[in-house]
Amino acid sequence: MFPRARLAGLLGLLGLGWPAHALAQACCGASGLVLPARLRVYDDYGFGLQATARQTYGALAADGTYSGTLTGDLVTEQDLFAMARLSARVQLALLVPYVETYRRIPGQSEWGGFFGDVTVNGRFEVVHAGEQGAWPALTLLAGLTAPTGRAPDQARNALGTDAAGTGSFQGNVGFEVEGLFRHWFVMFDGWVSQRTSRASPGGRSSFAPRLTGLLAGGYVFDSRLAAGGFATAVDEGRGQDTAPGAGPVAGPRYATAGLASAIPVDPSWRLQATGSADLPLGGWGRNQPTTFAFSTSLVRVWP
Amino acid sequence: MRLIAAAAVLVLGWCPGCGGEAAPLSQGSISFGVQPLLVLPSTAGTKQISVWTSPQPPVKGVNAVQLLVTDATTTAPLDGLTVQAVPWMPSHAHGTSAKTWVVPQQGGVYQVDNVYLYMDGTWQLRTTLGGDTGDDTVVPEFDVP
Repeated sequence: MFPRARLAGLLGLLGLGWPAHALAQACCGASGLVLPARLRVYDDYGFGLQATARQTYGALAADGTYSGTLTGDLVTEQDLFAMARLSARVQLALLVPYVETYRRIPGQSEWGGFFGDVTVNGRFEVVHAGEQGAWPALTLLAGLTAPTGRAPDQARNALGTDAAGTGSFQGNVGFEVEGLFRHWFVMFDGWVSQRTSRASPGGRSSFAPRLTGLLAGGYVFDSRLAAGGFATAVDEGRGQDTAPGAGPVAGPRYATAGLASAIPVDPSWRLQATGSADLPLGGWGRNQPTTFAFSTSLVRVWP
Repeated sequence: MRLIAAAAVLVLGWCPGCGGEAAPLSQGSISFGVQPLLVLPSTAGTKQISVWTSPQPPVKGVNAVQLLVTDATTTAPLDGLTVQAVPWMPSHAHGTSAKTWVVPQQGGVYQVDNVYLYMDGTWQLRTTLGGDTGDDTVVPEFDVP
């Protein structure tokens, strides 16, 4: 059981206000801060908008070499998301992104945008925080992304700035463990994702499973202002391509670190913000642009 | 100005030029050096392909590629092939928005224009060499810094 001020802080961390009947239900924490499209255990449904700006500042080559750039893409994105609780332990979320890209090449620049890949995520809350004594909360995760956006080779703009999709389905399963320690929280999410194959010139590209780990932690002030940090690591193994002369190719590997904060506006509305950077870890990362990203979210829920 | 446009895009989801008519890609002057960037065999092993790029090495943006195709045994230049080339980024499994076009020249030389490599990383130019004896392929690989 948490003191009221501490629990208020946790709810503030979620930015979801202070419903009186939630006193014994300290739930959610870091991922509610870092990943806004989720409900507390006593929320029925909600929706929100997340706006993100992402500037490419470098790239990790196939051999792990890092190099900086001053002409990287600027990508802005608006994600509209909605969440609904189907039962006491099951919730679903739908996310529809719209992505715009500003791209520069020598002698030419272009803005373009289009809808990205739509995602449906499900959460099965096996153990809520506080439900099994000191045991942490445990949630099983599953999701499916559909290729509703245009892949880069399907783009219509000259510089391909209307591309916002991967061109294949992706499914993922994972788990989340979350612990609460007075004013502090810590959580870990682990996923494994798998993309379906897609046609390539002269063959077909298939992908290795992608592993993702998210570690987050933070502190909740008595004022209910919440602040935290997070780090993610992503590693995709060697994919295959059946085209003649095309051998196996390692997928992307990169790490990201960032800060997050949440401000409750009232019991139904919350504001969240994150700032993050892909780390220029030459020798470890590979096959991935490195970016700075800033995002803000406005979320409305119905407890 | 760019910051204002970015702010408008971020907040309003509005971007100037989104969905507009696609403008043709602009390509700088094309020139190839003396030394090829790569020399590699075809997949079937019957041909040798020397590869130049303009600029060399290739850059992010629009590039041109010159292929010299010769018989692997006799080193005779091979004219009259039907050449098609598609840029592909294997680690992310995607191509680009632009289509290349191939200009056959004499002496086994084929020039591939409008090779648009829009992001840093490793790109392949998946190339089909069609001839009387069937199709052969070659996959030059470029690192775009």
